Amino acid sequence: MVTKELTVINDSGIHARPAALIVETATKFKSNVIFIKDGMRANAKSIMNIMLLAAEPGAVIKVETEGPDEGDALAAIEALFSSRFKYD
Amino acid sequence: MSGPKPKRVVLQGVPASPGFAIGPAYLLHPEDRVVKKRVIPPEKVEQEVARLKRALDKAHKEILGIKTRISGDVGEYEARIFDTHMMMLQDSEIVDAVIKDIHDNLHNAEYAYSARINGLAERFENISGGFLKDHMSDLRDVATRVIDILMLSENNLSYLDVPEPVIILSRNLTPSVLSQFNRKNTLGLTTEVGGKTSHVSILARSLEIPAVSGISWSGIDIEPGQTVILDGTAGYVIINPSLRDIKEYEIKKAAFFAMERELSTLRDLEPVTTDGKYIELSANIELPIEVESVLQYGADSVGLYRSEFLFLTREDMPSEEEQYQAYKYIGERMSPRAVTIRTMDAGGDKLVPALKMAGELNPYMGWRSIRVCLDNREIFKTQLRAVMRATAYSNIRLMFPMISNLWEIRETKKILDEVRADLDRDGIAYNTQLEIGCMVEVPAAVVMADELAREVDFFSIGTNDLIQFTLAVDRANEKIAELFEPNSPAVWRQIKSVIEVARRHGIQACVCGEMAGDPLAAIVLIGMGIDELSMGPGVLLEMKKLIRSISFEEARLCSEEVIKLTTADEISTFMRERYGGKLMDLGITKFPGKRPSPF
Repeated sequence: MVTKELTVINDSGIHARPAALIVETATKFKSNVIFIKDGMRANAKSIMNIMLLAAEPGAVIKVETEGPDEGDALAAIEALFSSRFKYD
Repeated sequence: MSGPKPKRVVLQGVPASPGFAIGPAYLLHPEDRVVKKRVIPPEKVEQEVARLKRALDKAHKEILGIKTRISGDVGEYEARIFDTHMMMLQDSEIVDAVIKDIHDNLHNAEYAYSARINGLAERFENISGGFLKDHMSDLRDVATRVIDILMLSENNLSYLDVPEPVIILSRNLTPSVLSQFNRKNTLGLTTEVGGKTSHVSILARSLEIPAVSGISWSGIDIEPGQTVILDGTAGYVIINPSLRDIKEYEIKKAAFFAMERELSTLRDLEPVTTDGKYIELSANIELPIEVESVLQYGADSVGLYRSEFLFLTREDMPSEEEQYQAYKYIGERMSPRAVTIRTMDAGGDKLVPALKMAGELNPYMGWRSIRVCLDNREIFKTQLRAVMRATAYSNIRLMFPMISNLWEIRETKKILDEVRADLDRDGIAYNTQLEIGCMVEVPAAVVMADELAREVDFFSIGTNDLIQFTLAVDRANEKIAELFEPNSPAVWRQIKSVIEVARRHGIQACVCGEMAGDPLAAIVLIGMGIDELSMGPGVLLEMKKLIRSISFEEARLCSEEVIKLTTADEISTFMRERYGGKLMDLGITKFPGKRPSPF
């Protein structure tokens, strides 16, 4: 298992579209991808879970990946965060 | 007599699409629909699960269809929300729990599904933060669709196939739902959310369905089928109208239809003065979807497409491909008619989030428009490249806003040449004969018009900015709204001089500000020799009617009188005395006078 703390740095937090991007990215990997915020654990492959985290700008999220491609999964999620959830 | 007489209630909202309707209410808020709990026989569990999966599958197809349509009509970025909806549909948090409920408790699929959604909705209510409302509405939107599908027999395509003409009362009617209604049976509609510029209002206007937005039904007792009057012109809804209301509105409705019929005969007639001068009438638009109403009102062209609207509602920049699709769509829909695309006119009161534009103390004179583009070459080039690619398919013209000196137009043309060279290198086709123009909206450009005219193929006079800069009146400042005076001689003299310069150089002169759509100002502009007037699609037909009733010669004489006058009051009085009666006779009711500019 690998973990990393990531900060939400876009202007509007994880609203519907970034949430969809996170799910899209997480489901590409075999590993489990878990987001932890304020003690709440969310499966990053479920859009409802991600939305229920209600991560606002500046929120710090602990990302935990576990499985055969855990390193790649974590790197992909990190890239998504640092790109401010950009599309193109 | 049976029972008490239902109470007459008048609600006021925002007029979203003009016209009148009287008819039975059709309540479209299916989220309030009662979902009945049934216990299914144990041997039918698998059948019930299969029914759920079919419904999810159907909902998925419907959303995908909507997404495709919205991508084309509105934009790819707006359509991306439907990706989220499709994910919600497939989310295991929802689906697995519903299937478990069907298995364990023998609940019918619609009950299990709606119970699960309600459970999640409660959890949403318990979290703080600004997303709550959006997430709830997305979730409800998806859930409503699934439950609707489940509650209908599967051969029934849509509950929206209403058998008789109705007035639709909705909370949030989306363009996709509206487009499923039979036009003939849609007398009118109301929405709770959205305003005049929401997509459903724009669609209602182009379909000529009277509409009122901002009408909330919470706390109002209304049964399906109850008589309702809808006044889309003034923005009223009357529930259980009195006989007198009904009589009054029958008359209004008849008058409105007569007027519409008369205007619609104008659609196919040419905007020519009685002595044969053709005045090109074109439309100003902000969204690709508005092309439909432009065509409906018989415009000669799109005289101003405000491309910045592609950039305003989002956090990132639209890609070249996305822009290209929007430009190509407008160009192809209008073809062979011309479309003038104005490059991103950001700033002032139109802040582009992706550019991180800060609020400025003096925003209209600040970092805006062409200045922003020249400072962000890559963004500018992306837009120019997208426009150039679209020119290969249609009659597109390119226009640059807020040019205030020669360097800006020359620099812009240099960048355009670089884009052309890139396209040549990549073997991508474009129109090599592309016409380019500049807005004349800064007094400095008026003074330098002679030199600017050598650089471009046409001028477009932006009266809103020209007035504010000439008179030093911030048009967003309500305290000085009275000073925003289109009829100022200082403004008219500049307009006249720009038109004369254009004529001397043999280039086209157009007006695309609010003044173009004002009947009295239009007469003066025509008299000064303007070639093209570009205005909101809604006033095009009345303008055509006016043009067909005047001669160029009388307009010319009139403009010569106007230019001699020395105060705005004198000009206003002169024009009213000379043409007020005529406008009344023509039934032209739109007398905009002084009104705050929308942008």
